[in-house]
Amino acid sequence: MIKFDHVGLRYGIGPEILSDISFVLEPGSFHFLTGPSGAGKTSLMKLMYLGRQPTRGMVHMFGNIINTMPRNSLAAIRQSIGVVFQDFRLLQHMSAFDNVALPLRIKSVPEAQIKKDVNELLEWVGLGDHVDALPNTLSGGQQQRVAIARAVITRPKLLLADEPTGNLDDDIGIRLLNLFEQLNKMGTTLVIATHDEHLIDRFGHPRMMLDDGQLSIEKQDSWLRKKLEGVF
Amino acid sequence: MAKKPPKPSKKENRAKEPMIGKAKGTRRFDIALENVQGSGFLALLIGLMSFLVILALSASFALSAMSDRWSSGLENKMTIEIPAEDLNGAPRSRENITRLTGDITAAFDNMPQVKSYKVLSEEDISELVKPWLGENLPLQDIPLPGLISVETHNNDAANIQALERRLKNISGNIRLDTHQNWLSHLLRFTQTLQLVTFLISLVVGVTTIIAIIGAVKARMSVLHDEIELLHLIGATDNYIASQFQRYSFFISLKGSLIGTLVSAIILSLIGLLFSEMSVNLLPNFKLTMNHIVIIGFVPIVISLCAMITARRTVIHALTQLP
Repeated sequence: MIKFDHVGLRYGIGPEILSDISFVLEPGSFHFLTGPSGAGKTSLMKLMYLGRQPTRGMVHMFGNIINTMPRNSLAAIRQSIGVVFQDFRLLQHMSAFDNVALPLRIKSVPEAQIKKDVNELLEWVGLGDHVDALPNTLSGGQQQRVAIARAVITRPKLLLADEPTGNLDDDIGIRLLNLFEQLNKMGTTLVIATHDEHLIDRFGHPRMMLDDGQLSIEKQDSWLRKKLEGVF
Repeated sequence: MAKKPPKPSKKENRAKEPMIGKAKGTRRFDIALENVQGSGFLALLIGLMSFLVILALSASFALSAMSDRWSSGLENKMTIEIPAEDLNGAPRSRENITRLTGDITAAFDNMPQVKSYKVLSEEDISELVKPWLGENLPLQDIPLPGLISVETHNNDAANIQALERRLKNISGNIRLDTHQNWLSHLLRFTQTLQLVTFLISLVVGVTTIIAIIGAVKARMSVLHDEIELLHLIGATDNYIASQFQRYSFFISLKGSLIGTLVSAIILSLIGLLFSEMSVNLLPNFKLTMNHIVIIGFVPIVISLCAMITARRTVIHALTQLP
């Protein structure tokens, strides 16, 4: 379970980017994070993948209070979180294979297992012929798929994706959302930040809406009711 | 016979062309440490530092060997000098010197602490003074002192005082030179030189550590995004530091091995030059097996220091990340 309790975030001495954010994400839930540009989606994602410490409030993750945890224990929590960054953040000197293998190597998974899992996943995301390619030789869509593969390779407990389908064709976008749904069915909690209303409507998961640093969250039961009413 | 496979067409060849930007070889580091400029410079700097440390170490070994040689050659040895002038400043005749020499050697018979002695002949004394007075001087016209080289069983103060008392009884101005005075000066001088070589090594070591800290910090700054990414996907500080420490170890090992090789060549040349000079006072630059083993450890010690320095620098800097 992920719980934010009256969380606020400001950069330096500037105004609060996020104010009084409180929500609970149950294990295995799937949410779309939406909101206008500059609403604080990326900042909220940063708090969720422990890229920043909140300036106030409490963050609970997987039974731990993040604010009070010693710094060196946070690495284990981060290993349970997969992140697809908006700008992909691939390591340019490493092949697609090595980029995807990185989280497994950090977890000291045996090389034979890494080889099997990474090749399988790259094949699945349509990059089976590009395992040795350096990221800067891949198209934007291909790089995004490598980034997604890197985020899901460890089957994280929480997957956060910032505009994961932004550079993808509709078909591949839908295919990747299907992959996310499969992961969700296996127990991964998902939060996907997106502007793509078409995608949100198609998959119909509840929304977390950020506006001017304030968050409102669509209840799972309201989403379920809509689904049953055939809105989606 | 197996049929030769058909030659691929131009189209097939194009399809199988190596991909531009394909990753080559084995991944060595998760962070692009080798792509940052300045690795060669760092290796060169460490090479130079290793070179200086090895030269300083070798100088220290040579000075130590020279001190040992001087000390061991004069252990329990002393020289009795019967001055060429008597107590009143009048020249002593050769007969007088010979008589006094006889008195002294006769006294040795009753002194069990005297192990052996040798009365230096005029030829021996001439040989000794030749370097200062030249070869062609008529030595027979110059008043020469009488010299007796004595070896005792024990050179302690009581023995020396007893011997001095006996000599004073024979003649008031007979001098006993235990060599301690000039030897202690000489040994203090070599010890000072050894201290200087130690300080040079220390300065070189500190400079190397500062250079490595600077290089690591510069790389951390250039590669900040990659380090942050590793951090965000769950790499521990140890994992990230291990990348830098491995890199620093290999760069330092490469540099210091080159430095060691160059210094070995230079030392061999110095050793060769010194051996040809055959001047006994100069230090001997021939290294023993022990010295070679110690020098052989220099690249390893430098590389380990670089590794530890890199690790501590990275671990310290990573505390800035959340």
